[in-house]
Amino acid sequence: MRPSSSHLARPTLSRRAFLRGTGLMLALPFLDAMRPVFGTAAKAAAATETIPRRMVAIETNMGILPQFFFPEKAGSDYALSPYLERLAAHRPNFSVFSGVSLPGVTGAHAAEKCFLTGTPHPERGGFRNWISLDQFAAEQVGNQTRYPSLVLAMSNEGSTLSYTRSGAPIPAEKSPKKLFQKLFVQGKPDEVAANVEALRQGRSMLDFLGEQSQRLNRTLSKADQDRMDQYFTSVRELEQRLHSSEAWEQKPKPVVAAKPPEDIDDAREFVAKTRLMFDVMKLALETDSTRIISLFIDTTVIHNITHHGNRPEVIAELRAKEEGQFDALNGFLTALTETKEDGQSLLDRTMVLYGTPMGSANSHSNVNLPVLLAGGGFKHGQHLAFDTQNNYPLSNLYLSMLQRLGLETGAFSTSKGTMRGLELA
Amino acid sequence: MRLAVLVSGALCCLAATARAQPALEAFFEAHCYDCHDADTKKGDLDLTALKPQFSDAASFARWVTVYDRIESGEMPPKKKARPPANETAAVMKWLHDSLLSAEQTRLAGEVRTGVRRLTRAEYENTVRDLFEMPGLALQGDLPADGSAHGFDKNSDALDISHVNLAKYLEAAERTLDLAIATQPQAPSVQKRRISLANAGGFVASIIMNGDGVLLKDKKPDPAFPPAGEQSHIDQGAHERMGSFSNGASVGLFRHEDESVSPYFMEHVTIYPGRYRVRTSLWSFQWDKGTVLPSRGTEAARLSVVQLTGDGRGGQHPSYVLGYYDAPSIESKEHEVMTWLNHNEIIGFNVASLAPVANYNRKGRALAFTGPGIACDWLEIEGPLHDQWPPKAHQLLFGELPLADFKPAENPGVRAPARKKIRQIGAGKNRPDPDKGLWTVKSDDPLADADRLLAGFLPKAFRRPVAAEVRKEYVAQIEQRLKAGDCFETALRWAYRAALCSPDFLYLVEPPGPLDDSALASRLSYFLWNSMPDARLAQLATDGTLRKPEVLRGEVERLLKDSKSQRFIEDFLGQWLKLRAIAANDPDKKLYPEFSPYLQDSMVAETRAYFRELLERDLGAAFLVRSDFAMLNEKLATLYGIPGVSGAQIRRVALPPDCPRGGFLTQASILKITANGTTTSPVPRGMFVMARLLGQPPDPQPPNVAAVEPDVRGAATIREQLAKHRSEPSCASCHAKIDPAGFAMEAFDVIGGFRSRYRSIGDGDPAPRGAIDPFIGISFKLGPPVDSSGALPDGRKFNDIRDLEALLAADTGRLLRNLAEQLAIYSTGRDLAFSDREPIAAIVARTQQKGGGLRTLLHELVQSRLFQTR
Repeated sequence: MRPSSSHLARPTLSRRAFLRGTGLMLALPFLDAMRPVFGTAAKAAAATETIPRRMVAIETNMGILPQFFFPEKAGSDYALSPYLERLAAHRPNFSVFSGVSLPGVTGAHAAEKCFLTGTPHPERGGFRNWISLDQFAAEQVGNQTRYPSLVLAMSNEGSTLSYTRSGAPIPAEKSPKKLFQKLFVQGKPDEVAANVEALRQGRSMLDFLGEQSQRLNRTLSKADQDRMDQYFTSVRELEQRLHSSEAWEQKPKPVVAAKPPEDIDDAREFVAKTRLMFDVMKLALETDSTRIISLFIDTTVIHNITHHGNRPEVIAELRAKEEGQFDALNGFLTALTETKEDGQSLLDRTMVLYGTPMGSANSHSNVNLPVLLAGGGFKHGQHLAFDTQNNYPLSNLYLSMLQRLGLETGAFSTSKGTMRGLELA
Repeated sequence: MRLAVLVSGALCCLAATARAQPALEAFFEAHCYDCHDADTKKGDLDLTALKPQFSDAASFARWVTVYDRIESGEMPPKKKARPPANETAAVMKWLHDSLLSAEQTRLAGEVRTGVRRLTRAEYENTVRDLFEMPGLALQGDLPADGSAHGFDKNSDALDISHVNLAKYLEAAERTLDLAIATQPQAPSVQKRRISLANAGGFVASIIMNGDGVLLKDKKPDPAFPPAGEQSHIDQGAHERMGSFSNGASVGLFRHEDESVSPYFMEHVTIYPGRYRVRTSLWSFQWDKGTVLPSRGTEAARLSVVQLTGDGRGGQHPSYVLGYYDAPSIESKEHEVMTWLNHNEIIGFNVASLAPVANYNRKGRALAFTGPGIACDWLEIEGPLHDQWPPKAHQLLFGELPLADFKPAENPGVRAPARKKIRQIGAGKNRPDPDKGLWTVKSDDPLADADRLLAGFLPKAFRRPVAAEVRKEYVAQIEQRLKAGDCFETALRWAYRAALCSPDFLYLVEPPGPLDDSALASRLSYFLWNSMPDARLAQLATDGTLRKPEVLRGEVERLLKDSKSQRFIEDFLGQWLKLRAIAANDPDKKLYPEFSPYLQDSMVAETRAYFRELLERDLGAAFLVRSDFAMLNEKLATLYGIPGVSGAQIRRVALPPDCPRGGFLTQASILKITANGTTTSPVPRGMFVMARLLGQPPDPQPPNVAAVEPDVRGAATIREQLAKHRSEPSCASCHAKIDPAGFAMEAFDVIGGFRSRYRSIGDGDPAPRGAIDPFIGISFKLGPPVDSSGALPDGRKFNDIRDLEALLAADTGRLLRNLAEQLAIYSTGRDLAFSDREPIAAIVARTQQKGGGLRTLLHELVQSRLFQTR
């Protein structure tokens, strides 16, 4: 099934967003002037610049035990569930949702690649994914930072949450150590020069490849030309990216006090691995190296215990793992809260979406998804309860998030509007 | 009610009068509208509203469903009166012809196979074959491909984005790094025997802990007695004494696990290339310090592991080299030729042993009695080059000489870039001394470039390349030479561009019938998952490939070549979903006997079985029923078949009442269709319907509560499902889906036969059966399994053997499905209504010639369907 054009059309930008996004030649010196030292000079900048908005989207792929996640009562005076108890300190700063799912997204585990795209029926024959929430956002706001977005995963496989406009998966960085190096370790001058030269060579080669595809195109049928057009578009997009990388390559990377992390190899230690990743993610946001992050937490290593078959001791084992995950999330939210920018906490400017594409992993259902949203400048502290029989579209939340980022877009994926009951702070 | 509908609105009247075929209308009126009108709308189908409007895709699909339901006899349902045969035949013929002509009109002039890029497996194979660097690892770094209509070889599934392109640029860079010779001579061949134990290594500490022993002359090494209650000397002292490098054999008791993975650390590959790997293995029974004959032949696994940055270990075995027999006491030597990449080492595991650990046991090795596997040594010889410069280099630079690059003699020319060779880890092999900066030398760069590209481009693009295209490349080379690049660098630029160009990355075919080179490519990407070789390309150039007898000969030749294993792996990986074999780890308490060795054996069985069917040209009934199986000892033990010893898969004749052999009862399929903890007839039934019978069930309706699996021993899945099936909205589909799954309930999640479910909660003590004595029995026996059922047409079966017989009887259906799967796979397109007759013709010709599967493959390749785009 192909998306109807209205769902995925590039949104029109607000004038402000447009000014912010008119390409690097303008944006780079501007940013440079505003932020000579990351974090401190931001205060001066705040007077004229709009508030930088950020988005972090996290999926844990093997479900979250619903009985320990969902609060019973709706509204703002709900009692924290066992899992939410782990986030108690942040209660005013997050909203928890129930009765939500992505319309048409079925297929049990197949749904994990649609958590940020909302593309219906990943289990069917001619399935092709749509663009993911983070990449949709990065297209618009990504050129303000060294990295348009970070695509991350805690996984040994090729898992990713992020998909391009043509539905191609974007490979995720899996090593917190390598991510740290990429973000903060400055290359030696000759390495930088070599990188710049390689980028230039790459661009000249892309010019040539673009011509080759156009030459080939002339021999093809109309339908094939459309397909080959994807290649040509890829060439152009990569050229733009190399161009932007070249500009950034010449600027020093931000300096952070933190030590580079040591990776953990053992897949069973996914909670500890996630903590490491969270630490580097917080640094990336704090230094404004990127404003958009997706993180796929692959817990396939506990897949067998998610099929707990209602055995109490297996449920207890699974619960302990999942509580560990919520403790790690709590640590991340705390770190964002404690980091200040222009007198505001980073969390106030960073939307953190956390959820899973499985309502019950034991029965492989893809409805009633456990999802929460923290921070980012919304009125939080509530449990937004929707119909558990006839779910409310989670894609509406995604639209709200995109609009909060400043995108003037009226639709995303299967959205029917913005999230009912979620208001700006 | 009917009257009300007919007179209720102009719209309905219009729909009724618009029917082009009064006979159809009358037929529906008489036999269908009772259930399928606007009021009753059974199965969400209102035939009164379905206009004979075939040009619209959605309506066309609906009509095809109607056609299929009537044709299969499913509709009208059994309990209703049957329409007279001649009435049905007339209506069906009209419907068939209308659908066919509508589709032919729609598809006229349209290209069926969309232009598409290579899959990442095709990409890797193509680069490997083009440069003759078998084993070059590239696909792991490319983004995963999608899948459409069950296979990844479809243009719908093969999008390209800037991400892919960036990765292709990197992969081409790496390929050229390896292909281009930078030294005047080949790296020296180093041959070394190394021990599994080495100073400072992991295995040394395993031995210190009593999970392994050093052995000399099949006895404990007197210089290093087995670890007992006290560590007699510390590891450092032993290392100084050279205890780990005195030529002793290493016996291990401990299976690899998350914290133990034994590697041969003393060889770390520096130069990628072909290596000869030999090893000497035996097994023994350890009895508290004494070596006794073992219980039988054990199996050890050798794997290739990519050493990680700090040189101390690697997480991911790149691939398994193989499982090798370790006979009792007598050493057995094994040899394998393999390609090793930079920083790859060889890993080891006592694959057939149960997980035991002595390190925290009182008395350690001296208190332990149990099996062990000994490795006398591992010998590595390489890199082995038949020629220098290697063929990859020759492909790029022909016979041009290599020369010392002297900056003084090349004013204004930048020297070619060279990457430093880094050695990591504890390898005893050493890099050769650097002989300086060598590069290929040309006295007439542009003429040479033109000549070399004239050879390279048609090979790489797999078809003739126009001179003007070559000139565009040469023009780039000329510019680069002017800008100060040396000859090698300038040509390298062009080769890299060629490897990232759409001509290389895409399968470009003319519309309509395939031309000769497109036919060669279609054949080679089908049976080798890669580019045509020189012979196939030559036949295309000569224009003789399309002669039926030549084509037949080539199919035979391609299948006999070892590269056809890529077809078997790639096709089965998708058709039978073998790629998903590791998707679920079986629950450790319910299936404590599961091991990676068993899992690898499962996959090997299914591949070997399919190859056997092809090689012997056996009929489609063998897909579901067989009198032989392809087994090794591990599988034979699981299946309860005696008399099979050793790790290698071989053909084993089955006792007459044995249900094993065919795909339905192969452990791989049984594991893939379960979730690691429980089984359900639904996914297994769906697998049989979609993959073997070619009737994929309709998708599950939305908002249906799924069954919550329960292994506490109270209710079986059948009991839970019975409630579900009693819902009228579920019953009709499940009557088709579930039956095969019911029969397969007799097999657990790892493919073992069962008459009772395993349970963690309630139940009776479970007998050990064939489970290794060192594995604890952590489960009980729960309720009995009921594997009886009835097919949708009412034919009953009591167990899996009955079901196999019922399915095997319909060879036409099995054959047709396989023909369809192979057609989708090989042509890279979905099948339409109008493809049914060509497929039926292929099946009919196959059946006339005995119905064998290799015959089917030949008939497919000979067909117009295969030879048209």
